[in-house]
Amino acid sequence: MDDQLYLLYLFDQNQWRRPLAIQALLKGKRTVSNLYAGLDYDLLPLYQLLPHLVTAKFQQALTQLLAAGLLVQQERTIRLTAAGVAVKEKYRNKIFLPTYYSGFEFHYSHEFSDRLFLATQVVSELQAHNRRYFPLNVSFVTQQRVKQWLQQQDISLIAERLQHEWELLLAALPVAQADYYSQFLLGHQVERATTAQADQLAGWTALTGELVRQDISHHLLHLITTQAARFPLMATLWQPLASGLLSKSAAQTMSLLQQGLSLSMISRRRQVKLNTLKEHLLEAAILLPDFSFNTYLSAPARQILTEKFAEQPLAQWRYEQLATTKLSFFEFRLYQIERRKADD
Amino acid sequence: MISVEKIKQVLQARFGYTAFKPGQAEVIQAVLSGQDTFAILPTGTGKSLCYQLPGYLLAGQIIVISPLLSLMQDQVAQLHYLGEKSVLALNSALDPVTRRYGLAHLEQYKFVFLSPEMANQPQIRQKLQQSQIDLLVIDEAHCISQWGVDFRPDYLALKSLRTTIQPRATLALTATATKRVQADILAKLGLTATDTKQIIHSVDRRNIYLATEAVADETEKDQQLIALCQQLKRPGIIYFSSRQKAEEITVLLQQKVTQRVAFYHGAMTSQDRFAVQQQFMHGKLEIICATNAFGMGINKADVRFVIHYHLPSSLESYLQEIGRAGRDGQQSIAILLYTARDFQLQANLVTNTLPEAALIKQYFAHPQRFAAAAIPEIDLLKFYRQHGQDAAAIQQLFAKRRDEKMLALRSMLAFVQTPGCKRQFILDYFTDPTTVIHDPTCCDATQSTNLAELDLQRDPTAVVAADQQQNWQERLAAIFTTSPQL
Ligand SMILES: [Zn+2]
Repeated sequence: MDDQLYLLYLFDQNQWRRPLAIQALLKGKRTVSNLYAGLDYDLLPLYQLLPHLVTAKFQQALTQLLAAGLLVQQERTIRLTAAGVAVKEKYRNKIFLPTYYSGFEFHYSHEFSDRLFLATQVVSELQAHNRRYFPLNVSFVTQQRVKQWLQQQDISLIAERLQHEWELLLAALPVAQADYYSQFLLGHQVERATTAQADQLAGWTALTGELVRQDISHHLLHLITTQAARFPLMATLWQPLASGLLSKSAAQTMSLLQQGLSLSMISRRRQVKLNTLKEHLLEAAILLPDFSFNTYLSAPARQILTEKFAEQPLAQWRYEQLATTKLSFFEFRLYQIERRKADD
Repeated sequence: MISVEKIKQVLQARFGYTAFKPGQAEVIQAVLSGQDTFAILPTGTGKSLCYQLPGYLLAGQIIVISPLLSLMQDQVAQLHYLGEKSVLALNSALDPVTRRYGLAHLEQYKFVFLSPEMANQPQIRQKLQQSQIDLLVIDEAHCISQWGVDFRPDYLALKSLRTTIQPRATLALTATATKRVQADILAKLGLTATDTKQIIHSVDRRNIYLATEAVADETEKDQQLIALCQQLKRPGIIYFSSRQKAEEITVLLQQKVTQRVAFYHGAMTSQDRFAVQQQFMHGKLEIICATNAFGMGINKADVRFVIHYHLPSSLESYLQEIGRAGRDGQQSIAILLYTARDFQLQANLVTNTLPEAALIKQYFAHPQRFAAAAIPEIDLLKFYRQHGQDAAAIQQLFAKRRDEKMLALRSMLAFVQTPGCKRQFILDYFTDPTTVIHDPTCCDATQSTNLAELDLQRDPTAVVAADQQQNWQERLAAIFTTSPQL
C-alpha cells in the first residue's frame, strides 16, 4: 500500500478542495480560513493529525496522484476523478483510516503520551528499587508534572494500580493495535521500540504507523475521559492537559463576552485588535456546537444575506456580491458558517 | 587544599570507580586548587568526570559550555543517571516556558550547561555575573579555533564571558588539537601558556587496531561490509555521512547479518533516538548504523568495532568516532572502507555547508530579507554581520575556511593512502611526541588484517537467539512485575 493513496481519502469527487488548506489543517495551523475549509470539507477532526508532515512530500504525493489521473486540478483546487474514486473504493479495506482521532478535543495528546510513558517507566524502576537509569527524554515541564503527579499517589499501591489501568486500556484495543502500542512501553530492563522497528514488525508503512499511533492515543484518551472512574491514575495525569475546543486566546475572548463585555472593551483591556477578536468569534462559530449565531448576526443583516444568496450553492458565494450593502466580511463569513453547519 | 583521599572518596561514592583513568586526577586536582587548566585527553577516557567530580567538592556552580545539542543532552542524561538532579541545560531547542523557568532559577543549579549562543545572551551573562562560579568548562574547546575544522564563531565571545563572570578556574577540554589549534585555544580564551596548567595526553588509543580497505565500488563496499559484520565480534558501530544510506544499509544487514541492527540519525525524533540508545546500552542491538549525531555521550564500554562507510571529514572526526570503540581497554578495531569516488563525495558535503560568494553578497545587500530564514549558512552570516564584518572580509574568511576544510579532508585522504604506520601518521598529524612501535596488532601497514590473531573473530557457531516477540500482556507483566535489583 503506497502512502500517497491516503490523500485520496481527503478529497471528494464533487467538491473542489484546496490542498494547501488541507495540508495546513493536518499540520495543525489554526487560522479561520483553514478551519472553515475543514468544516466545509468535513475534515475538521483531522486537525493536527500529521504535525510533522513535510510540505515537499505532500506536494510530491499530489503530483504523483495527478499524473496518475486519480486527481484533477483546477487552479488552486483539486478533486477526485472517476478513476480516483475507483482506486479509493478498491483500497477501502486495505488502508488505515483513523476513527477515534479528534484533533480539537485532545489537543495535547502527544504531551499526554510523553507523561504516561515516563510515568510508567518511573513506576517500573521504583518497583525494581533501581535509581540509576536514563529517564525517557521528555521536556523539563513534562518531567516536573510527572514528578508532581507521583508525589500525589500512594507509592505502595501505584505499580499494581497503573498496571491494572494499562490492562483495561490495552484490552479495549484490537489485539494488533495493543501489541503494537505496548512496544513503546519502557521500564526496568525493558527497552522501548523505535517507531521504525514497530512499524516494520507490524508490516506497516511509516504513514500507517503514524495514523495508527494517533488513533490509538485518542482512543485511549476517549476511554480515560469518558470512564474516569475506571482510570483514576491516568485521568489525573491527563486532567491538567484537558483544554476546550478553542485556542487559549479565543477561549479568553469568549469568556469575556459571556461576562457581558463588548468587543471594543475587550480589545482595549487585552490590547488585542478588533479584527483578531472577530477571528476568535469565527473560530468559536466553527468549533462550538452551541454557538449563538443570533447574538452576532442582527435580524436585518440576516435578512439581506438570506435574500442575496437564496438561489446560490454555498461554494459559489462571494463577499463581493455584497458590495452594495454595508455588511462586513465578518457577517458574511458568520452566515456562511451557520448555513454550512445547518447542511450537515 | 583538598586531599587525594577526599577526592578518591567522592570518586567511589558518587561514580562507583576505584581508580582514575590517565589524566583525570591531574586535571581534577588542578581545577580544585583554582588553577586555569587546558587538558587534552583522548576520547573515551572520561573527560566529563574532570568537571563532574569537582562539582561535589566545590561550593559554587559549574558552568559547562557545550557546542552540540546531542552532546549536551547526553551529558545531562549522564548526570541524571548518576542521581544528580541539580542540572540545568539551556539551549535553543528548549520550549520558551522551560527556558524562562531555567533562567529565573539559574543560580539554584549546581551544573549549568549552556550552548555558546545562550552563553552570549545578555540576560544570562547578567545572571552568571551575580552567581558564584567556581568552574567554567569549555567542552570541545577546539571549536574556538579558526584553524580547527569544527570552528564555531559563537565560541569567540567566550573570552569576554570569562571576564564578565570571573570564574574561580577555567577548564578547556578537548580530545584533539594540533599545536597550532592548542595555541589558538589559549589565546581565544584569554589564557596564557605560563599561567595555565596544560595537561596533554597522547591521543593514541593503542587497543584500537587501525585498518583501511579500498574497494572498487559501492556494490563491493556493501559486500565487504556484510562480510565484516558477519566475522567481527560485536557490538559495533558503522558511521555514514548520509542518513538515507544509514537506513538502507540497516535493511541490508537485517537481511544478511542480524535482526539486531538499527539506524540512528539526527532526523529521528528524540524519543526514537532514546530507544536506540537504550537498546544498544542494554545489549539488545548489536550493530548501529549511524551518522555523526550518534555517540557523543554514549558510554558503552565494550564496542568492539567502528566501521566508516564514508570518508570522515577530517582526522579529528575520525579519531572522535573510532574513539567510541574499546573503552574497556580490550582489543578493538577501526576499519575505513573507501572507493576512489568517496573523496569527491565528501568534498561536496564539506563545502556545501559554507555560504557561497553570491549568497554573501545578497545577504549583505538585503539582510532583512533573510530575517526568517532558518539556514545555518545565514546564521553564520548574521553572526559576522552583527560583529561588524563586511561582505568582502567575510568572503575572504569563508574562502579561507573552505581551504581549511579541504585541507582537513586531504589529510584524511593522505591517511588512507599512507604506506607507513597509520598510528604514527595520526600522532604526527597532531604533533604528538609518542613514538609508535608498529607490530601486527597496530595497523594494517605491513600485513593484512588478521581478525583471529587480534581475537576479534566472532565465534561462527555462536547463535544469538531471536528476540521472542512478546504480546501486550507479557510486555505489561515485564514492566510491572520486576524483581528488585540485588
Ligand atoms: Zn602501525
